[in-house]
Amino acid sequence: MTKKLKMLQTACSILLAVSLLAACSGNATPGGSGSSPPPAATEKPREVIDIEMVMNSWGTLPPETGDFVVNKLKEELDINLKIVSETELMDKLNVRAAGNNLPDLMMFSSANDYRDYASRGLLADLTPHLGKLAQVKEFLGQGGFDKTTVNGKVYGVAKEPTLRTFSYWIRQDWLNNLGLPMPTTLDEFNDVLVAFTKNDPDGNKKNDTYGMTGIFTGLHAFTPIMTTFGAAPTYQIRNGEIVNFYSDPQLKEVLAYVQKLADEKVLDPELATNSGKMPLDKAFQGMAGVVYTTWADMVKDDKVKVWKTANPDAEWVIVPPFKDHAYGEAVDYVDAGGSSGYVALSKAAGSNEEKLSRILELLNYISHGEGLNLVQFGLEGEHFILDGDKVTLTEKSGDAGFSWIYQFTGRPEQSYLAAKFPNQVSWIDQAAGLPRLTVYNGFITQLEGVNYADRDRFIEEEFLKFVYNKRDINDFDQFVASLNSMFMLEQETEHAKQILSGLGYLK
Amino acid sequence: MVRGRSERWFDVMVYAVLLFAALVAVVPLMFVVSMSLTPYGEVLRNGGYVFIPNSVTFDAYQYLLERTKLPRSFGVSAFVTVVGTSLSLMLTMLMAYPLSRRKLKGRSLILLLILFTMLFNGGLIPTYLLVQKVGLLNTVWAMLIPNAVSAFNLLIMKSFFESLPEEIFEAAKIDGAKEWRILTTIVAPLSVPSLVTIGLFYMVQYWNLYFQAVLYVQDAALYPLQVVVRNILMMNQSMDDINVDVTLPTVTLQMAAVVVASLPMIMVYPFIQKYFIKGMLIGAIKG
Repeated sequence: MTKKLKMLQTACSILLAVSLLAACSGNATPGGSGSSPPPAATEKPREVIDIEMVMNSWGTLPPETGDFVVNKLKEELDINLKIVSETELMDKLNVRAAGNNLPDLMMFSSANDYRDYASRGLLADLTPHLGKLAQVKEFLGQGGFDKTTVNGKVYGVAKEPTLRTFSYWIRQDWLNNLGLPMPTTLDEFNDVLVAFTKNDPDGNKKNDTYGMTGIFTGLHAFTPIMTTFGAAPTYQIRNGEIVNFYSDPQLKEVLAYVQKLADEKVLDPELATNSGKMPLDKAFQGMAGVVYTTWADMVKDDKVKVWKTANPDAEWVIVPPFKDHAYGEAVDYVDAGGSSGYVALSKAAGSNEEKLSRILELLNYISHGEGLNLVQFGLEGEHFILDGDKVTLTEKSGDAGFSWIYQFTGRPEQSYLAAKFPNQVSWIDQAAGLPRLTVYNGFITQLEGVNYADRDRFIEEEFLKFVYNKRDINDFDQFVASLNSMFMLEQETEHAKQILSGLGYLK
Repeated sequence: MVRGRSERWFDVMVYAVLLFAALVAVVPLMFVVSMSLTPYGEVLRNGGYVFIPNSVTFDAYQYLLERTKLPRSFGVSAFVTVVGTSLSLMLTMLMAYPLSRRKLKGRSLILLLILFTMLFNGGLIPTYLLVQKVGLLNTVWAMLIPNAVSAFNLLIMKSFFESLPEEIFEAAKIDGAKEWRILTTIVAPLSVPSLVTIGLFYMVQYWNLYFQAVLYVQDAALYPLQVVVRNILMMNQSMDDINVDVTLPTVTLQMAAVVVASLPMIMVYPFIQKYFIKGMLIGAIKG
């Protein structure tokens, strides 16, 4: 008995000691910002204001100490900016909204979430202060505010969209092995996919290759085929008329073509369940010869190293647009109303005059000149050298790798990428220079009374049925009729027409 | 002893089944460990699956230790686990003991109230508001206090205490022991198996803490292990157009993160196993 008790006592005391030790180390951090040295400059009359910005930065975080962007902003604008990265961004914002505890600044990634918050009265109305955002306007143009207009009022700033660089990439070495030229039409493309599947392009005497892999959702993997037929999700203007992707007769052609590919068994059999970056892994493994993706996923230095290790002979190149197009060459589509994020102020931050004006200053500062360079490349002289307009990164530029999270209004994409990725410039230029259809999705608000999650699931299921021959392609008109009756597609198109007419895109 | 042919045949079958069951359990773990040690390019060359690595690299682990928040979050998780487990065990024991004494007035009402919380709770937003108003938001305590006592564990411990023979308590009382002394010198030492089992339940709960952290904590320096690991795992799942500046973690890195996150718990299990089996029978009907 006493022995057992002693053991228990010892165990308890060890636990306690460990917990006390851990308590010391665990508690050392929360006061981080409070214990930082006070601003040295005393001649400035303005006191430093704390500003909290919540966003999803995909795991990128500023260093805990010595964040030169924060220091510079403190020096220039007397603000202490703190970035909080949330992976479950909307869940977190929703509870904080319920607790009346929204952060000063937030970056929404989807227009619908932003509009939802704006119409619920959670965001500060910036309409009266637009005059003070001169540099932002100069950088983004009127579009930066058009995209954030909700019920006639501007509640935020739409970040400059990232450069659209999607296209088909193909294994040039497989084409060479089989003695095939680069496909220039949809028919030739079909033949290439069949050859990639059946003629052993990697020469390993095994039947282990497929023509194409990708993601099925939204027919993502087939985008270049879609746009060659002239279809693109969701709203485009064709010959002066608004066209909805789902009721577009061209979509039927697309589905018929893809269904033929599925029949010929040239598609990755797991196409329907692929998600995220899985198709790229499969392409790098040498399982498929064609994939719809971007230069960043294919030719960034670390990626090239990976697929060269897996397949030393591999050579990936961009497939040029197909010639047998219906409405002009296109390998992809680009959203004229697109944005890579929506920056907005909480109502509380907006009603605090001093805070509001500092935030507006901040947005201006990072949208031009020195501030824009700071958030793009870091400190001049340390992380980059400026020669006229030309930016050259120094060896220490790696230390500034996190600065992109401060690009609240975006960046001039092509010059930014050219400076950051000098080895990939020719690929970026080639991918960005390809022809694309224009869509206007970013401007179109959702209809009330439509459950979009249900709608997307319905569409996905029907697409799968059409492509894998569970439903006759001649049922396409019935599919459109179901969309009209179940999800008010006609009303939505009419609604989109009015919005685009109002903005002057439609006559 | 002479063993018949059919008996030996039976033994072979038993071993075969056991071997199969062991393989089913071990192979996925081995797969994860192997992947974490194999360079990513090598993984792809082998069609995405590696069971026995033919070239070993610790690059992924080095990257995790040097370039991510993982070491910090490991410390946070260790703190939360150690403090949380001790706190929870203490509170649960202090509550279970009086409730196990049949003489306690209002016992059934208190038990009913406890049972009530197992079936109904405030829901996400009211709980968040409560945590906010109490001033716990963005502190380590938000991960410890809201879930410090689990009603289920409390009931298990209560029924274990009830199963102790009444005569022991009477004897202690005759010798002049008060309740506190009975609890610390008699009940606690007799209940080691149940304490260890419930301690293990709590330990796993704190080690796997995710939701409270995501909800109540903003400061990245306070994130526990699971939040950081999930971020590393989920990035590749995203369909969003992720900024080109972000370098996505490779499978090798993901698997290394999984190993780091699960290793401590796997290492603790063998030491507690003997209590664990005993403890699992607590509350079950005994002969």
